[in-house]
Amino acid sequence: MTLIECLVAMALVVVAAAIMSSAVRDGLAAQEDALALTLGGTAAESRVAEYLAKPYASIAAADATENVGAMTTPQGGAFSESYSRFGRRTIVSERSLTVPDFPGLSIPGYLIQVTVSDLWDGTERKIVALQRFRPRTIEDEIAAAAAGTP
Amino acid sequence: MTRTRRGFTLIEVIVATLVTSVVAGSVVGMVEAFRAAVAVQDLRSEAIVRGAGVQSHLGLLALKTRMTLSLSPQRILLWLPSETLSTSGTGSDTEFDLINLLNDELHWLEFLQDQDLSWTLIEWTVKPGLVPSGASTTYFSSDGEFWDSLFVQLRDSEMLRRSTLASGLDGPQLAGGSASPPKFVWQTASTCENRSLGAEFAFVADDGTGPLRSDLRVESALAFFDRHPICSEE
Repeated sequence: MTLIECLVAMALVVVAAAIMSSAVRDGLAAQEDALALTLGGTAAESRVAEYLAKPYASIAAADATENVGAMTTPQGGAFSESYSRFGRRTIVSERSLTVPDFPGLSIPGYLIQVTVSDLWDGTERKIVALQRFRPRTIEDEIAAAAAGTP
Repeated sequence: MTRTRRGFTLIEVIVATLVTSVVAGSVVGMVEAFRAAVAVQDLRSEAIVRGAGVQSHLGLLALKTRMTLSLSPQRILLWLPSETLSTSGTGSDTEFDLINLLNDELHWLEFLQDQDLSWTLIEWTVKPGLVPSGASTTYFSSDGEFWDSLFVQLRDSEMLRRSTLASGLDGPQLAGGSASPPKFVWQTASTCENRSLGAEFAFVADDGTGPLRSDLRVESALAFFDRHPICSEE
């Protein structure tokens, strides 16, 4: 084997290793995205769960943004380190739902919209968007009547 | 006639050796990076799948749970009524009050520490066949200690079935690097008022170079939260 052949073979090995490494890097980036989706989903679910769990009378229309790394749990604590790259926006608005098969029926409640974002190459990237409707139930109305609030 | 073949010169050999060592060094580096990346990838894949599994199971329990009967950082008790919602709505003591141990109504979730100091998330349910007929029902109580003592009694009598939901866990790592044990989270400690349940934990694996971790926090609202009549009297 000549020196030239040897060098060509080595160059091929390097190229193959570089391609392999690049494939792994891409796979890792895809996993990173999947993990971000999972974690972002749980952060959004956490906020939705908070609004579904809190007393109806304590809910008010709101538009609040938690910056990246500043999210807080429903209990007021900090999220763990894994969540430090996420930020979250919560929009709560009064909404009435109508049911197509029941004309005249309108269900009052709040629409809760939660968006979780992270920073990707310095720009904000939306990862997860969730929305749920919290209806005003008969129990909520009884509680409001007992408390003397409309 | 013989033909003499010229060998490599010293310079050629040195250059070849140099090039070979550079290439070998970079390939070894790439293989090492490859191995480390695959290990991280494996952990993340596992964390995603196992995390989704735990989230899904907790979500399902939250969907069926009427109330959380006992709450502590490492153990919570869920009441999953077996009677239909229409029957529950009557408020009748005989139907609403009664918790039937034979009908899989009680589910304890517990974080237990293993001998290797890692944590396991366990679900305990009652083994119906082993509970004596005279002790198959109990009444609602908002006293957490009552439920804790029932748990110890049933567990020590081997009347509880143990299912592992996730193992190899640690506590979440907070900003600044400090770790705490895995724990359950809830909206409020009051049995009569709490409407959510969740957990904070981390999946941990060691790839030989050190521990790799992935923190997770899952939380769900109780879909059919239904306060016991006793709660209105308190």
